[in-house]
Amino acid sequence: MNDFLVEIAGLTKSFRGQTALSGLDVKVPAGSIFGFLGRNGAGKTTTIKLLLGILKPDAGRATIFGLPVSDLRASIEIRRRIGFVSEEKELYPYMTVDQIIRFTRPFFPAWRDDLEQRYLKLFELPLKRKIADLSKGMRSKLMLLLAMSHGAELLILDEPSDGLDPAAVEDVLRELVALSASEGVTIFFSSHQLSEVEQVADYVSIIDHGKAIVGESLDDLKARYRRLHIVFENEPRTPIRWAPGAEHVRQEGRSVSILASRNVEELVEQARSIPGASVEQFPVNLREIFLEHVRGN
Amino acid sequence: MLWMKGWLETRWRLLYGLAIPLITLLLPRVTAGADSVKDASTFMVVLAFFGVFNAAYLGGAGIRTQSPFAAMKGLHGSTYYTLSLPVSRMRVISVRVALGLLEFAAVVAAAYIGFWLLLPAARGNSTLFDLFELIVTAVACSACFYFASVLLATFLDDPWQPFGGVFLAIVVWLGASRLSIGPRFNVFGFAGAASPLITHTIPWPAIAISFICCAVLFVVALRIADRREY
Amino acid sequence: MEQVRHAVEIGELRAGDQLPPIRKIAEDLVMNPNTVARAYRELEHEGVVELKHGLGAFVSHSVVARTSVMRKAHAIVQTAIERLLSLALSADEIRRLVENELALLRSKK
Repeated sequence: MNDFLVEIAGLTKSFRGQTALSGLDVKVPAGSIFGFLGRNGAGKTTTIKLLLGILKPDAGRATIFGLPVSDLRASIEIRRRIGFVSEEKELYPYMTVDQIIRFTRPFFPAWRDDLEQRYLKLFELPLKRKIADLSKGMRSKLMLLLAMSHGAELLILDEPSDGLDPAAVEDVLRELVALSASEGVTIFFSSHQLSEVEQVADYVSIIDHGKAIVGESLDDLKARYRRLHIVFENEPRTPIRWAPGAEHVRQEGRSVSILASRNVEELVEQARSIPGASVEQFPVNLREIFLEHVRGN
Repeated sequence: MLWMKGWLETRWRLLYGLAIPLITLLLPRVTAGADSVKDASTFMVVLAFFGVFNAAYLGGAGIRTQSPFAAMKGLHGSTYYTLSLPVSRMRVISVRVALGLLEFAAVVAAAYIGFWLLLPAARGNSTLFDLFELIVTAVACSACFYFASVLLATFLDDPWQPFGGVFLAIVVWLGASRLSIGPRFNVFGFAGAASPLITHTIPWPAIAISFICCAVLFVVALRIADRREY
Repeated sequence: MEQVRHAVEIGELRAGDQLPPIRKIAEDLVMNPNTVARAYRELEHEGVVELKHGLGAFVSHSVVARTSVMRKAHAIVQTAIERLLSLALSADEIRRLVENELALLRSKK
């Protein structure tokens, strides 16, 4: 078995001359909870639609379970083994909750009745209500219920917590963690809620303008980033050329703030070599790293 | 289960399709003077167009989710749900086409049976078997408009796709009479001189032409659907 | 991880006590299970817990020895802090100094 459940290499896609993806590379390790981040329009939903065979790539390659996503037959096999929540969270408005469950179940041979019952209770979904009459939050929960009951090996969730209240978000994250911990389900999800990604993800990818600019384990990412805070005794007369790794330098009078993406040790040494400078370093959270990357480009 | 989805999307359309021709038949003004087969000819044309309209209306068998009644929110986004299911687009369309075709046949049959029962004077010397032949002919000849609608649905949205289907039928109707195509070769011939109620036989050439169109239109529709991006 | 270490140090958890399974901790704290597993492995590496395959994680017997080391360390830190306070440093300043030194050592490693 492959170590990576999803492998995307050089994926390229444009719509009427508008580039959505330009050579995207992403690898999702089996068993991981993978946060897929990017600003609106960075190409997240396009990537997910390509993975599901809803769109077809212009160039590049993507495989799930080792199967090519752009092959029609393989795509059906892939879809049998995944659970999907779309960005829109829209289901057939004329069906009731009960009907859409009965409609969906036969498509998935590994369907989990136990999980279906559990989520029905947890999410408090009214079986007889028409989907057209559900609130957005309820539709999101219903879509999650359907996707998470597939008995899937991989969940592909496009902004799963969108439209949910904080308590529901916590419930959903807990259930996702439980699926990951006890069933070994791999979870690939996009989100704008960086705090929730930081809470449950162990791998992240940040994409911008259709390219992955970060893709590694969250621990490694946070280990290599530091914010340095340097205070000089006298304001330096000439601007300092910082060693590589200093991503974002902000100087105000005698104090300098540096966001370092690597090479922290050398930067600290460099700062210390300036007479009368005191250096402090702080860990950086995902939010700062994200903002640094998508603003820098 | 795709059958269930199709049924929920089309059951109101089916009801309309059954009700409207029968209600029309009950209007005294429409039926006044339909005392013989010849007098009923206008009425036969009306019934033929009811058939075409139903073909266009029931044939919206695309990948997109259809509204069963009035416009509903969430139709567009739910198309992605259909596309995420582990079935081929070909199967999604085929099931929906088959179901719509059955409903279409039922609607056409009901309209002609209603005609037969409610306007006994217009039967002339035709037999029950002639009625059966008329129903078969009407379904087979109008089927090409059903598949035209299937094709239109692969790239047109709901309100435009039935209009497109009906518009196409009017063009064919006018074109056939302008070119004076023989009634046995005209897909609308069954509503006039080639009606099995008059000729006591089925106009096979027109049916063959219709079936060839059906096959071509369906194959093209499947290809478009398979290649399309949503 | 810090909680477990602290609980062991102050004697809340004793040698041989079983720690909750990774799954349960991940669900209770809504954390990534792989992160919890890694924390357990680090605790094992530090000798705080022993991972018994299929049985779960237990507080290590060698941790008793560690507790006495911790007591000594405690005394050192106590005197150091008292001296720093006598230099009129605030608690915040002391904390920053310590954290900074540790971070520097870590980045040199």
